[in-house]
Amino acid sequence: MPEKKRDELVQIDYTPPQRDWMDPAIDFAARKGTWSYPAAAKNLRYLGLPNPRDWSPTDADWQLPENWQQIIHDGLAERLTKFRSLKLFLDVCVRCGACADKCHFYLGSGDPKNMPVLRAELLRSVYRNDFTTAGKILGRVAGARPLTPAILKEWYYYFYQCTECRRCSVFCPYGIDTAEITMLARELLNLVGLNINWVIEPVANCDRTGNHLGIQPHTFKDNIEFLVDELEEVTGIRVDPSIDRKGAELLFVVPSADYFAEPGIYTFMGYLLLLHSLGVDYTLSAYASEGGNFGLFTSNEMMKRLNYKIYHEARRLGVKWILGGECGHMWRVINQYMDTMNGPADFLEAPVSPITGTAFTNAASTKMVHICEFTADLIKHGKLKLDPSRNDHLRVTFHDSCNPARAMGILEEPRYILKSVVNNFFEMPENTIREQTFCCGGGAGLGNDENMEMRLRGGLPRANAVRFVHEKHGVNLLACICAIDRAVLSTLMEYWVPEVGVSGVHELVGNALVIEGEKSRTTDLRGKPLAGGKGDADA
Amino acid sequence: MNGLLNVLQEKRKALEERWAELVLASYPQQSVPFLRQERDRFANPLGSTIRNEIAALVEGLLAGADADVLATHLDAIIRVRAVQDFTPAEALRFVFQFKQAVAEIAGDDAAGVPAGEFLALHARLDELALQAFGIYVGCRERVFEIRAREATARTYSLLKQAGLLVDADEAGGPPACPPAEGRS
Ligand code: SF4
Ligand code: SF4
Repeated sequence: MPEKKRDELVQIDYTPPQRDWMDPAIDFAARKGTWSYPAAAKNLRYLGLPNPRDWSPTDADWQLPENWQQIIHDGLAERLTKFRSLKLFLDVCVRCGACADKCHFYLGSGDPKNMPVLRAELLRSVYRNDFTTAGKILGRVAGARPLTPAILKEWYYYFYQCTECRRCSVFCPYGIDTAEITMLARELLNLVGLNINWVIEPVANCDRTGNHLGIQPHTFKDNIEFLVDELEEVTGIRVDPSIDRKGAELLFVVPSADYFAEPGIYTFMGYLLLLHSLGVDYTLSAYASEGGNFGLFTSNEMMKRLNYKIYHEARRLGVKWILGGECGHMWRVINQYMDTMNGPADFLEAPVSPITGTAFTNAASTKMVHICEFTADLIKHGKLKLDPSRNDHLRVTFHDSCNPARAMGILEEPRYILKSVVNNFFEMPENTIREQTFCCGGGAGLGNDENMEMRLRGGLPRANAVRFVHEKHGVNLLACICAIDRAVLSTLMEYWVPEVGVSGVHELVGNALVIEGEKSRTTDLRGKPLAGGKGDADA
Repeated sequence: MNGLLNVLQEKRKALEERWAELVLASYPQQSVPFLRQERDRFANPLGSTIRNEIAALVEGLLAGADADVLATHLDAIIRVRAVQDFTPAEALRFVFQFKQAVAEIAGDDAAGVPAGEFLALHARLDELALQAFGIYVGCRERVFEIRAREATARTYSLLKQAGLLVDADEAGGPPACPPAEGRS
């Protein structure tokens, strides 16, 4: 009977069993792909950080110091007096929920504890328990929880699942910055030796050799020369960047991936071509050979320690001011912290463009100018000869990297440059760009391969908007001004929108830049043929 | 014309909604209201993907669309679920939940529908499930491919630094390309 058949079908229950999502016990073994490997003991030892040991989050015993609860309690007490913002952020949240659905990790995972408000609540509940009268008396009723091993593990899981991107803070009516809560929570975790290797190893390398990868001066030089050769092949121009040259006008600091890995190297070639074509008197430093600063993801002391080399090298080389390349969190450190941490750099001059005479008054105090500000000013003054048709094989959109956008407000300059060097530029939807931009999912030290699933979840909101412009406008290139983005977005695109590549802004400048004496260009800086076999009209 | 498909066609909206509801219920309870209610596809990529692609699947299934058309929509959903906190079974359960949605939505209207028509629809769904299996495995392979690519890139950098690599240049081939680096 048909009727019977149908009833039988209805009997089947396809509803999945509900899990207890509020259970603080994280099963690390079952959640591979969503956490990062812990820091190797040798790196902690090298840096003099507490509790060096080799361990795994899947171990039952995390080998914590015996008095770990006390250490964290004291650490929190100290930071509550030191940082008024922390106390404020912990006290004033009214749980309005405006931030709840703004985190890319929440949007991509649906895990409630990736809501910024609940992420912060992990720390806030312990703060209430230990430091507020209501919490001490009322306990759970007042949202207070004593710090147990299970909660500490939850901290490790979720505070290393926040890229400190600050998107949530844009929407909070009280200006609560969950990124800062994460930063402080990570400081506390560091006190008992809970850190991740993808952060701590670059920190150790930076401390030793000046850059994340541990590249020594001779290899630094070799790498730059390799890129100079490549550049000559495409353009016929031999650029001559100097390294550690005393008396140069500018020190130029870039993220290390720009001279070591694809696709950053093409951006680096763009910088070199630009500076060469204008005859700018600049030098690179083999020790300030990293703009990035993973100290930002460790502790304020570590950030200061690593940042110091920039001013140190500027002083040693006797330059007038500092130019900085396309890096994300490097600019957060420079714009928000460098001046108070390691400044004032009164041995330097207030930056003035040697080509246009423009004074960069915004950088009068830090003495450090973003290359996009520098280049936008050049274009505005008509100092560059550009042939945007050399980028006609590309249909470009721009990803605002979290730090330059939200921590610095560099929104117009890269767009102005892009519109001058490409003919096909398309914006992604409004609620996914500028201050509201979506993170790449791999910042703050989370861009490692063992954390891939979390990265891909976190990258969904960004990739979703890229897919939209790809389908609507045929966009095939995602430009950005951050080295981590260039690496992380490349992977993200491979999974979500494989038709779209990733580049820096100055790579496209390098393509379009018409330089006296160059050979007729048939390819872009990557060696890809130009559209219609042309692009050398002005050369 | 097929009676069951007629009934379902008339109630297509309800069928789409119900199926999408069942899929959304696989996410943590606290998140379901947001995933269900926020309609902006950029503010809620997960919820929108599920709702829109489920709608497209229903349309395709009822209209007898080609396998490759269905595959596009399946892919969009599975690509997301393949990297979320699901076991393989949980990730793909949504395909079979179509049966539940059909049974509930058709209700008494399908009382007179011959069993054969249900079986035919279920056979289509079985095909869809097999397709889904392939897509899921493809997504998981992709994840490990890109992980491997990043890891190899790191080793490559280290070997190159140590001077242990012979460039294809020296070996007489095209110039070696520096790999993408996962860390800036
Ligand atoms: S938006 Fe601000 S006040 Fe509202 S829940 Fe989030 S952090 Fe708390
Ligand atoms: S700072 Fe970014 S990653 Fe961290 S909670 Fe806020 S939105 Fe999420």
